[in-house]
Amino acid sequence: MVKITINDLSFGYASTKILENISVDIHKSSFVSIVGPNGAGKSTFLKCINKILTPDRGDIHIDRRNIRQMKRMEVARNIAYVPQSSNRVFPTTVFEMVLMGRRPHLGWFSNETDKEKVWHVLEEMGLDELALRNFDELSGGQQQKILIARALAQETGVILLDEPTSNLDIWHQLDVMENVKWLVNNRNVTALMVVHDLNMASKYSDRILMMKNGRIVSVGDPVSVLTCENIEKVYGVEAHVHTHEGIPYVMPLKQRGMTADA
Amino acid sequence: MLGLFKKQSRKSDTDSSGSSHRKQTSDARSDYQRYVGRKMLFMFVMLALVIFLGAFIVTVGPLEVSVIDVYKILFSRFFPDYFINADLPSQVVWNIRLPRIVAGIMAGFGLGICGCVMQSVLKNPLASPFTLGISSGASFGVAVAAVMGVGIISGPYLLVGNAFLFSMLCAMFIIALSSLKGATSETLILAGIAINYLFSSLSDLFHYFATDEQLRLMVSWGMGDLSAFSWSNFMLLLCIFVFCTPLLYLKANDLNIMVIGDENAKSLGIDANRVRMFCMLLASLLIATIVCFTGTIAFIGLVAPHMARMVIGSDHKYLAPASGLLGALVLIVADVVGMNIVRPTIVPTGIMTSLLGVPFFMYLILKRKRKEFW
Repeated sequence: MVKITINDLSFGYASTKILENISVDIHKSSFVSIVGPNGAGKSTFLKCINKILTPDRGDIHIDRRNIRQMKRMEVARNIAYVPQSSNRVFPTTVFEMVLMGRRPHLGWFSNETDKEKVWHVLEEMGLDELALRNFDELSGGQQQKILIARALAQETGVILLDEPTSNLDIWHQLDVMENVKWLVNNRNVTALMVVHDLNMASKYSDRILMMKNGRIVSVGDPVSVLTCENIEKVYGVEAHVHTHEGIPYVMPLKQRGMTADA
Repeated sequence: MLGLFKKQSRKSDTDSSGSSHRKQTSDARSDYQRYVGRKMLFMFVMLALVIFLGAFIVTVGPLEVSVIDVYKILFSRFFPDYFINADLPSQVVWNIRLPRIVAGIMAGFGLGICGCVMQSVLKNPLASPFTLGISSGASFGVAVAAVMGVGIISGPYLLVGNAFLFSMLCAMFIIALSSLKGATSETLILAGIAINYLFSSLSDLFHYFATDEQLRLMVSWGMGDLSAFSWSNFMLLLCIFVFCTPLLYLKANDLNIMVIGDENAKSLGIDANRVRMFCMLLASLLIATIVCFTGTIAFIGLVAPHMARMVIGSDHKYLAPASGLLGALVLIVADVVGMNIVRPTIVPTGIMTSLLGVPFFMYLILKRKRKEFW
């Protein structure tokens, strides 16, 4: 079943085009990774889906409803967003941070039910002991998990993640990916993740969406997308792809030309 | 550090480990309950201190009136049949001391809560209620009134009216800037500073051409003084208070989210720009009203939120009222010290708040533990 339909999406700042004519369907409870070189428009794509940015052209439908016609609060009840990092000026406790995820469901104030839900999420992720700690004092891995916990507290059908593993060690990378996979399998969540590590994308996602210069180059399962040709075309890198237990793994060998040009 | 991944295997563990986990869980929850309890206690103590100090300060002053007489005078206003008082002490207590305390509490509370709101919507710890140029606008308004004698309303409210008009003008300019261009908080702060400089220079121009008497009026107004407040202004200030503070407080949850940045706020359903404009508008209205009666009392709006944050963390449901209470507390204490330290001279409130507040704030900064709020 289709959860999100993106139809002919274009977005740009002033003179530069960031996204051009993107059309794709995202199926319900699937794990989709978005890969591509820096500046391909991956993060912008996520922000358009989440209505943080308004596209110049094209429509995004979630559960067959156009997000242009939805209030921001309504979008937030359907789509959660896990940012790359969260920089705050003032100290915030972990509990307050996760409680923010309840905001789209609240009237003016949080009540006991909302707090109970936050506790539930924290306990489920094993973060409850950090509840009163200051968010800034935690390690990158813990911070990332708390941002995911906030998205979980938001109780949405769709979670967008912007490079959640970018500055984590391999243990925490696996931990975050397993968490997301668990949500997709057990909670019917649809996850869209921007990720640079092709092997992580390959190991965990159902589908990979490969982008370059604001366009989709290839969409499909990891085996069909992560080919030597695609990688050379998109990244300008000669790579060796070998398959282990049916999952393709990419070993970059050398650059072709100076940069990945258009 | 246990993820869902680990949790799945934990589910199949024996009962004993399950119950130990549950125990940890209840620990975290009871810690949280205690944390909330401490915050409530702090607020209650603050409120009690403000009331207690107010009740104490009303008995202190250059004119010796006994404590019992003071309260007789106060009660006689509500129950005129039971108490009969001498005229002069009654005038002093009811028309000089009490309005001053009420003004101190209201101004301090307003400055504290608006400082807190401004810091959060502008995401800047250096922001204060005067960041939008309100104080310099107000002093320009006063300068115009003092030197040229012109204003929107004449008579006794000439100064006050002008101060209010020009401070709102400054604030509205910046708010309009944010609505038209969707400006970021950095732009707003820069614009505020620019406006501050503009109106300061304009005021200086008036200072330069003013006579001694006019200059004295302007300078003493700029220091911030509670003595200008009287019962006739009380209802107006109260109305603005009753209108602005509850509306600001209703935004407490949104203010919590504003701090994490505009894009993140949007992803949680908050239209950051709209919340920022709404809060700045209400805060400006409240502050302009306070400033036009009391002059610029600069230090409290910047520092009271920081003090409150050090003690009870940054959840605005507690932070906003705590900032207000702390502001009120610092202001009335500073004012009573200023009134009595070099009798019979009264040191202006604005000077005294900085003289007393700065060392206290320094102490708080230096002793603050990095790891915790307490």
